[in-house]
This record gives sequence, C-alpha cells and structure tokens, in this order.
Amino acid sequence: MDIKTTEFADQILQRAVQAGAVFAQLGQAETDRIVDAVHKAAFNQRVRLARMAHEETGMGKWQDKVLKNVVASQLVYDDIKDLKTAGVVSEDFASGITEIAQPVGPILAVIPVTNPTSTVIFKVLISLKARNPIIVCPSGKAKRCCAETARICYEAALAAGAPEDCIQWLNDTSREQTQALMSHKGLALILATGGTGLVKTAYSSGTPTLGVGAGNVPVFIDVSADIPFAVSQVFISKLFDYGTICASEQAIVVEAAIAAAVRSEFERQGAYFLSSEEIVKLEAVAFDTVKGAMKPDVVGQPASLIAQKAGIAAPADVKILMAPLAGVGEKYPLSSEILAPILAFYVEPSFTDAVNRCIDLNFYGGIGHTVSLYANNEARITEFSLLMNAGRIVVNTPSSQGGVGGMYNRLSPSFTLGCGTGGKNITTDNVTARHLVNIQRVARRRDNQRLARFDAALYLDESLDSEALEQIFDRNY
Amino acid sequence: MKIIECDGKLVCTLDGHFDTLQSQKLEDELKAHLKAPQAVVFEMQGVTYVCSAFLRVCISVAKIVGAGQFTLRGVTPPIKRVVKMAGMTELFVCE
Repeated sequence: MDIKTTEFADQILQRAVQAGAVFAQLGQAETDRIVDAVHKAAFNQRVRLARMAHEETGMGKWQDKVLKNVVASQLVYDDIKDLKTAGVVSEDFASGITEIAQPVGPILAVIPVTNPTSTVIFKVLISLKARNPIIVCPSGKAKRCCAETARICYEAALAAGAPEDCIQWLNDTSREQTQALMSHKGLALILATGGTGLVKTAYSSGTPTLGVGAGNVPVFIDVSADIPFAVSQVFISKLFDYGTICASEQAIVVEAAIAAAVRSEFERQGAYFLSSEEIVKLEAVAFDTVKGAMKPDVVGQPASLIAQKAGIAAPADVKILMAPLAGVGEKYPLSSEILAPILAFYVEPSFTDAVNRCIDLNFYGGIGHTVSLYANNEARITEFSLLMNAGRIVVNTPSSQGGVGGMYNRLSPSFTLGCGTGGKNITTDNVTARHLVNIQRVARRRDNQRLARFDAALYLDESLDSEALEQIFDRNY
Repeated sequence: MKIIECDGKLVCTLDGHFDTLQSQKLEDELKAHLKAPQAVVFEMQGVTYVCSAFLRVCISVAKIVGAGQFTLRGVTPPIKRVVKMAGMTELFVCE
C-alpha cells in the first residue's frame, strides 16, 4: 500500500476516532435529540434526494425512491426512537445484572447503487442512535446523491449538538483506498450492503462486519391462497422501484391445480408470459452467463424497455415479463436473481414438489435471504417455513416491502438484511441500531445456591455418575 | 479559564463544558501567551465535557511545544476516557 493511501485512511479514521471519543460523552437524551433532528432533515428532503438518486443512477422510479427515503427516515426513526442505546439500559435486581450500552466505534457504511439515498439515511440514523461516527462510502454510480444526503444529515446533526466529523463521506475513492479504510485499526465495524464480492472483501479485512447476502426469492402461492390478492401483492412488490430491492420476488411457484388460474390472473394484471424463443432472447439481455450474474443494464428498468431491448413483442403496457421454466440452475439463467420486473414461473404437480422447487431456488444464490408465501393454512405456513433457509419468510405480503420491514409487518425496517451463516453473514436479522452497541454487563454477586451448598469433593469420586451427582445437587431445590 | 506563568511553565486552569465556542476562546488566549519551547499544563479538574475543537487545540499545543512538554493534569475519568478513545495519549502526558 503506498504512503498516500495510508495517509488518506489515517486522516479519515483519526477524525472518526476523535468524533467517537467525543460522542461517547453524550447521554441518551442528547443522542436522541440528534437522531430526531437528522431524521426530520432527511425526511424533509425525501423528494429532492429521491429525484437526485433516480437521475444519477438511472434506476428505478423516483416516486418509489421517495417511499424508500420515507421508510429510511420516518419508519426507521419510529422503530429506533425508544431504544436505549446509551449508559445503563437495563437493571435486574434478581439476577444482579446491569447492562450498559457502549458505542462500537467508527463505522464504515458501504452504500449500494440500488438504494443509495435511503441506505445513507438509514445507516446514519442507526449509527448515530448508538453514538457511532459513520463514514459513508457510496457506490461510484451514486456519489453525488449520497454525498448530498450525508451533507444534509451532517448539518442537522451538528446543529443538534453532535460532534464534528460524526458523519464523513467519501468521493472518488479508489479500491485501494476503500480497502485501506476497511482494514484500518481505528475502524470498529463495516456495514457492508452490496454485492457478494464487496461483502467478501469487507469480511476479509479483519474488521468486524455486518454484511448481507444475495437474494433469489421464491414465491409459493398455495392452493389456499387468495389468488387475485396474491398476484396483486406480487405486482406491488416487483414493480416497486422496478425490482431493485434484494428482497424482491424472483420466481413464482404454484401447484398444477391452480396454475391456470394464477397465470390468468398475472396476465389480467399486466404480465406477459414468454415463449421459449422469447426466453432465450431475454436471457441474452438480462444475464451474463460468463460472470454468472444479472446484467447491470436491466437492473431497475421497466419491463417494456427490457422487452424492447430483447426484441420481444410484448404489449406496450407490459408490467412484468414471466418466464415459464422447467428447472433451476446454470442451464436456466432466468432462475437466478435479476433485480428487474422479470419473474420465473414454475408449475409443480404437488405441494411436495412445489416446496422442493422453492428449496432449489432458495439454495441457488439466495440462502438466508427471503422467501415469500401466500397461504391461508397455518399448518402449511409452518411446514413450508421449517424447510426454508431464509432470515425472512414473508406471508401474504409483498416481498420487497415485506423484507425491508415496518410497512406490512413488524420486522424492524432496515436496508441491511442479514442472511445468516448460509449467506456468510453473522446474523439473519434486519440490522438496526441495537446491532451497533457493545453491551457490557455488570454482574453482582448472586451465588449459585445449589453449587454453594454442594460438597464439591463429591466431583472427585469417579464412581458417582451424572445421575447420582445431579440427584444430590438438586436435592430439596 | 485562568492562564498564568509559573516556574517557566504556562499553566491553564480550565473549567466546565468545553464546546466549540469555549475551545475557540482558549485557543485565542493561548496564542497571546504561548511561546515554544515552553512547558504547558492544562489543569483539568473542573472540566466536564470536551468537544472535537478542544482536542484540536490540544494537538496544536502539543505540536508547538513538542513531545513531553504538554501535560493534562487532574483529568477526571470521563475526560481520560475521551483522550484514550481519541488515541491521543501519545501526544501529551495525561495525569
């Protein structure tokens, strides 16, 4: 690493470390005042920032980006405002344990191109709530809107009494500089929201990381589902920002018994089912078989534009392109995650086969992320859920919004969705402020009563097995 | 705040909440008195809060007077914690 890169990282982290030291002095009330001020400032700029994001990235719909900014500011704030994140946060006389929340320290927040301004707002709020300085590291394709978002948040934070440099943001950072920051000894944590490569780099840096995984969300529409309702919810989700949220649906799976009704409902609501030849055309435009990933050109684009690019004669007002497929895997590129209004469609002979198909999809590039289910049968919901490997199993809700949380369910609203160890993450949670504190426990003396009165010399008697010892240990307890 | 010269040392007795404004006042006062090389002592017993600007003043003083010549004395535990977390204990003596 050259000296310039090292100096660059040293400067950023020195400022962040000092900010963290100053921030740690603030109590809950002062911290909450700062968070309130920042959320309001961001909320008040939600439309301008959404338009900026859309203009700069060319992805999605600005109106939906406004909603994302609303979730990131209003709903996230509502979720975290009452959390105790500073000083003594719990006391229990019986156990003698007092919990104290300390900040983790400077956080590097990696921001994806798909949800730029909303992720900045979200990460700033949760970091400041836990009294951590944050360094915003935007995607190269969303630098300006992220910088502006960070600036708005920073000015509001300072005015409310936050320390200088509590928010920093990077411009034109090279890969080497980002890596230098990630592995810097002053950095406490990386919030890594982005592609697999980036998350892997973060984990390899040596700095604790809360990362995410890729999604490949199957939607199982059960025979007990309200089909028109289920299909309408899929449209709400898949069209939201033109499918840029990682928790958005990727494939519909139905049993043969209801396949015709489901297909008909999709067509009625604006989907177009592709022929085999059209599927080949779409694959060429939407998926890079060499890299094994979706092509960036289709991400967040409307179905009509994608169809045009692929030379598919879909109706001009088409909303979703549906690809009936017979399998999952490399031979079926459209069975992979594609963040656009494209859905694979599977018809299976039975419930068991349908669940197996969902498992195939879940495990094909989406382990630990999200699955979706429409059903009005609790036993089926439970049976299905037990077999999936997903941090979020959203029931009867649009998957994009359902995964993010706070709108259609009581999950914590978040733009960093953990995928657990299957996705090489440390949590399956929707990451929020409570993940950004170190909890210290003051443990007062509370003797283990049974141990205190037990004759420990008995442990040395090899003739006494666990049953015999435990009988004595538990006697009269 | 009170600044006096005592046995060739510049002794600053500081008190209270050091926000940006107070830190700026301190910096302005120091400019009038500080001359390198000279030992500088900040008496910190009465200081209850320090902001980033105060830390910058400390870094600046340490650079002017040189290593080992700048002491923060009577630092209370909350302030000591700030100095430690800010990674500044190598720049000056903290007692």
